[in-house]
Amino acid sequence: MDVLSAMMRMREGERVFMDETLGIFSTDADALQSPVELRIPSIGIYTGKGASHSWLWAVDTFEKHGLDLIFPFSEKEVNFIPHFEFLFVAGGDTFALADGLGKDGAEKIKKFVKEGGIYLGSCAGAYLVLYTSKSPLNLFNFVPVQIANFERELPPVRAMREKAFNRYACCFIIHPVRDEVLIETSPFPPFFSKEKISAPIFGGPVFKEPEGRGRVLARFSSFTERTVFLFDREIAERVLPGKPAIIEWRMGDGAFYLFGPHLEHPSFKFANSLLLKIIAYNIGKMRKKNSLSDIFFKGVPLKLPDSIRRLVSDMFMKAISIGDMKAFWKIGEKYYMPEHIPVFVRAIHKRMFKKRIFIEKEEMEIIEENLKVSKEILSEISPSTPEEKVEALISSLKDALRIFLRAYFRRGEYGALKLSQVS
Amino acid sequence: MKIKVETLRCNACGICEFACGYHRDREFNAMSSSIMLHRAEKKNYFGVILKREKDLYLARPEGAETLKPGESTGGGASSKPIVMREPCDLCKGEEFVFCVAVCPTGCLQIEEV
Amino acid sequence: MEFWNGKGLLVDLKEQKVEDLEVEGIISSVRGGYDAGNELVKEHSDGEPLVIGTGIYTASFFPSGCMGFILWKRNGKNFCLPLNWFFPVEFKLTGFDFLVIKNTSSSPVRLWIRDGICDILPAENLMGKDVWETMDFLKDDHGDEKVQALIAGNNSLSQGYWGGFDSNGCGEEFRKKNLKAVCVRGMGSISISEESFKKMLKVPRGKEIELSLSDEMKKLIHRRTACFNCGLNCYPFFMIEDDPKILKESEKKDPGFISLDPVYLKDENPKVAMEMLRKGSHPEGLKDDEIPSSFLKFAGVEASLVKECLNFGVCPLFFMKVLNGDKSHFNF
Repeated sequence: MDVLSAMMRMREGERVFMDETLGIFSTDADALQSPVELRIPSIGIYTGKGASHSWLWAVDTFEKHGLDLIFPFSEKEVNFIPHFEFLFVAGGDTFALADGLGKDGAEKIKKFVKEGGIYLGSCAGAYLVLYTSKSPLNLFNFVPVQIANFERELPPVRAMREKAFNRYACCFIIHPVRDEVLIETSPFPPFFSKEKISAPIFGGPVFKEPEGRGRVLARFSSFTERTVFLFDREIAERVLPGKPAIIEWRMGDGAFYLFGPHLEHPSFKFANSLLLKIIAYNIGKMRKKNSLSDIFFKGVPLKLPDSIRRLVSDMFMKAISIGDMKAFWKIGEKYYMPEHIPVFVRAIHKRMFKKRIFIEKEEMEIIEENLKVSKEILSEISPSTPEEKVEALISSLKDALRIFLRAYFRRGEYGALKLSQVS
Repeated sequence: MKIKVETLRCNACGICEFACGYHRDREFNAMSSSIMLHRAEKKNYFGVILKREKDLYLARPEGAETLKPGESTGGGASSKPIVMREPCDLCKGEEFVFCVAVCPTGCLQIEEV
Repeated sequence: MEFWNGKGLLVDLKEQKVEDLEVEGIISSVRGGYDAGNELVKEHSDGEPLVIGTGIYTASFFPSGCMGFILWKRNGKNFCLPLNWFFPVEFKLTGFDFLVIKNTSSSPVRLWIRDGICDILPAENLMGKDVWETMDFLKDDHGDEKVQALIAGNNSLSQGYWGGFDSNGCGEEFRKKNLKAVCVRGMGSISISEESFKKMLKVPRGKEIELSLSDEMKKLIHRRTACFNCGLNCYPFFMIEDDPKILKESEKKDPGFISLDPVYLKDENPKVAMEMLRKGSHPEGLKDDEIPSSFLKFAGVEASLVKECLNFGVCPLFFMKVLNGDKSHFNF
């Protein structure tokens, strides 16, 4: 049984076990050498300042595989961090992530990992915790690993200039390729075997060799027909193959798992399996106590009111209709295009037909208020809309989504999930 | 194997979108389809857009166009959301390619590469 | 419920109220959509209802599963307007199987239905606009080319731009209720089992039919189109203001037309036909047929078979020409 089947069976209510020494899965514990029972862990997903839309990929992927104890939180809610077992920080604008999370967020993340929590950092979420001297990133100096995609002089850009590099002081963080690459896994836990897996990279880090408490779990291997070269191919060949793509860095009782490619992208099934293996492997070792029930189980089962569904439905159509608009807006270090907007709206739209969700009245009011703000900006959006307005649009959409998804994934006392499955 | 589109055979009936949606979600729904009907009804201008692994295939009646990732579609409002959808996987895991099977005019065909 | 949403909508135009209707019970107790629609007409007879409905296989993989209908009573007599093209499918995908419209609004209104929501919107701005202007406005206002609508025209109800078969007073019923249009966009889903899906793929799909048109009219044909999920291609587009051979998108605002009811073409005067469609003026005016005679002529069937096909949401023309009237194809 592979990890994807294991997760599916766990989602269907079967008891599933993982062999810690061999990395295989079975519903029969006696068939394994050192079985550890899998369960659904609590996963906090950062959605606040600096996060773009790739956290939604993580939500979709986790939900698809039955890991649906998901708790989205913003930069104002870092107090929730100690309650999670896994913390996922996805792509976006690294500086804005640091600015949003701030000193308090940095300290909470550090304590979280030291006490046994697992930090999963994808793309900007990976850059965030690497060592740097630049403020406010230097609040997050947790993983002393450098990046290999760093140049003092900018080579000639071949395509997609706005996505090809980021300035870093007087130097450049370059992104030689985009989209699909092949990575090769290392033959020890959590992956247990050498395999070539395709995964997408969209501006994520290429690491240098970690030392000390670090391990390389996968390396960039080669390119495919789908790989898009933003610089000359020779530069990509120099920068990526052989370099670490996924690294583990242990701290205290926990660890950081950092990935350059987006293992959470829903279109890349085998990359998802690597992410799930990291989670499955660490569930058994989890020393941290999960106290999600303290913040998670509340609300009463209510139907999403027509007023909210109306806003979402109309915004969805409007968001699709502007997708053809030739525009892009730079918010911080991140470029947003009209086609990003329906991704946020669709995340609610496809879930809002669920008959009942566990939600509090105040939460519905927050969702509705934010959707009204979004709708107003969206109705007048054009290529000349100032960046601040687009930022306000994205921000209010994310706030509405955060509260909605929290309610959507929540189990109340009426829900199917028993508390004993969580603790 | 790939999907060949004989655009001038298309009659804009729209069933291909739902066939692909059924492959994705096992429901009659077009929202996650990898193939989309683009239509300007009043001008009787229509064709399909197919999101493939490596590119976006615009089967325009006046001639097909292929767009690589990052290029603009210019294909009209209803076409743009396809950029964010999963690419066609030729109905991997199914007994046949659904959109080809339902197409009533033979516009969509399988071509062995 | 397989093939159905199990939900209806009740709109009271006088009270300006919208509420959900539970229709699972009715659907389960009758043969299909048309019969269920008739039950709803009886149930809500206190409000002179218009019932817009769909059939079992409307919005499914059953070939030509595109049909819907509107039912009402006038002077104690039953009337039925069959709907084809794309409105019934878009309507069913909004999450509702039936729409019951009761009473009369004090001011001009239109209905906007999507994702399980129905809004009664003011329509003063649409008074004075012809059918095409109204349709242009609706597509633009809601920002989606796939929006479909039923629009009250000059003397008939139009399905979007392209007219339809209304010569038995449905448009007049809309006008009496001060209802300018019913506009829909379906982004939802219908449950269909894998077994049903595979069986539906085995139903013969037919092929393009011969059109009985003069050579002069044939010269104007641009590309042939069809209703949802149908290969008969009954509907040629007549290109009047541009080259019929053009393949790129015409730059003319209104380059031509489709006529859902062939009777618009009876005089073989395309410009006149186009103007009638634009204004929503059915050439047969207002008649007293239970089912419009032009529809029976188009489908080549009797009224009882039309009703049976509307139970299943399948086009009667397709049912006769391709399925040879074999009802065993309906059994799933």
